[in-house]
Amino acid sequence: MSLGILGYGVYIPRYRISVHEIARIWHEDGESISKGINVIEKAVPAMDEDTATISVTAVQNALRHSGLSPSEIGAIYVGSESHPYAVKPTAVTVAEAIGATPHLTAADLEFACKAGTAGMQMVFGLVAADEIRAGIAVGTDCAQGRPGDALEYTAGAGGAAFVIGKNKPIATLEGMYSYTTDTPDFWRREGARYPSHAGRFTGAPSYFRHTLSATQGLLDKLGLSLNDFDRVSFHQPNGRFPLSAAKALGIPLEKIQDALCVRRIGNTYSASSMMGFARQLDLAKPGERILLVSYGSGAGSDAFSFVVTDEILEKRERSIPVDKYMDRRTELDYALYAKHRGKIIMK
Amino acid sequence: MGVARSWRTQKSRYRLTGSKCTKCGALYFPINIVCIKCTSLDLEEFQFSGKAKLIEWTRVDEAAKGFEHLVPYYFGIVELEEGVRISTQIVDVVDENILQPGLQLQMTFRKLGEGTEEGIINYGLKAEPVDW
Repeated sequence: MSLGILGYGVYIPRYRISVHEIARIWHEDGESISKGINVIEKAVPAMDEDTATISVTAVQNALRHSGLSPSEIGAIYVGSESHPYAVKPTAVTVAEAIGATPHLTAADLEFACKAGTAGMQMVFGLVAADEIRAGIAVGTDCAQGRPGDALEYTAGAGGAAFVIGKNKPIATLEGMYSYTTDTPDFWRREGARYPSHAGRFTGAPSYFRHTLSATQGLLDKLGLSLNDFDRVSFHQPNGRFPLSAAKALGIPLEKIQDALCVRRIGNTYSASSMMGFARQLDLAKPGERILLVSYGSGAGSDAFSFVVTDEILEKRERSIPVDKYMDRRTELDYALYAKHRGKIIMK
Repeated sequence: MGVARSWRTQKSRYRLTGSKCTKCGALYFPINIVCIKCTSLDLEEFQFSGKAKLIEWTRVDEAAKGFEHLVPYYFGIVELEEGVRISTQIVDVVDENILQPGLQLQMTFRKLGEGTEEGIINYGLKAEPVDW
């Protein structure tokens, strides 16, 4: 019995808006912006989708993949910065929708884009302590960017859920390490409609410092080097930052490129690094070692090392790969996008 | 939908839970307490799979209050895999031509309505075309 991931599932809304279309509205050079941020388009939720609905479908997919029944789930944590309610947990709706209530613990988490991996750490802790047999951590967001702001080009929507336990994992956990400071690079005050950010300050002292430090901390803790890893998923606020982080660490492109979902669905915030990790698991072979490093503004990074087991082959036919959702797409123009995202205020 | 009614009907709306008559085997959705076929009061909860096919549909261009932002949207009668027919919204219809009787559908968790900005959000299942 080894601690690890028993199953995973994702959900990505089918609607897309391209960087070119957003740039057209703001009289910007779409070609140049798209190239600069290495993003083609982003996922947009349907008008009746939100963080709760996306989480439910991702969790249903993860549970089916794991083979567990809802009554075996002892904890559900939903990490997001776009919970539908300020007060009333998304996690209870998810638990009720999958039939896991009432004998479990559930809570919502918030830590910008790393709330989902914070949930993974909590579930790993509960399972390791034998308090629960299995639990689920979800990272989901329907991210909002202020119209005309740089964030509007990348603020996407999607969710990724991981079932964690000890019985026949598809990937075992080798260790985890976090690096956390008070760094004000991105925030949204209570009641504010859109988040604010500190521009270039989101780079070196924020994303890169935390991502690189968490990675190094994990390597030191486990006595591993980056050469020991076959696949990597870093948080993807855009398509350029994770590649720059990989370059700074000497990680070759082929180890990280499969994780770069951001190019086609944008930054899914709390789901971002977990979505990349899910796609790496879709493609992984038994025996491969995967590095997952999240980043949440404010700021912190959680790093994990996993080793893929033979179980992944057994369970693969029950999974819906990330690519199925990425390939399912319907393009919107800016007017429909504005309607989908509630940017048209009727009263 | 009021808070109490929303909570009371949650199991059927969230999970597609219905009833099965333990005497004659008749299935019902949503949860029922009396078998209409044999009048038995002995019913147990029954979990529908969520797989369905389209029977008939209509396009809604003039929506009821609270649904104006969704127009045009599709509403239809669908038959669950287990044989029970329900009326439901059909979402993510990007091409109306695909709406033919027999179209394979699956139930998906969506927002049903939000009421006021300060009220509760009602969630439940709607049908979507199977993409794969």
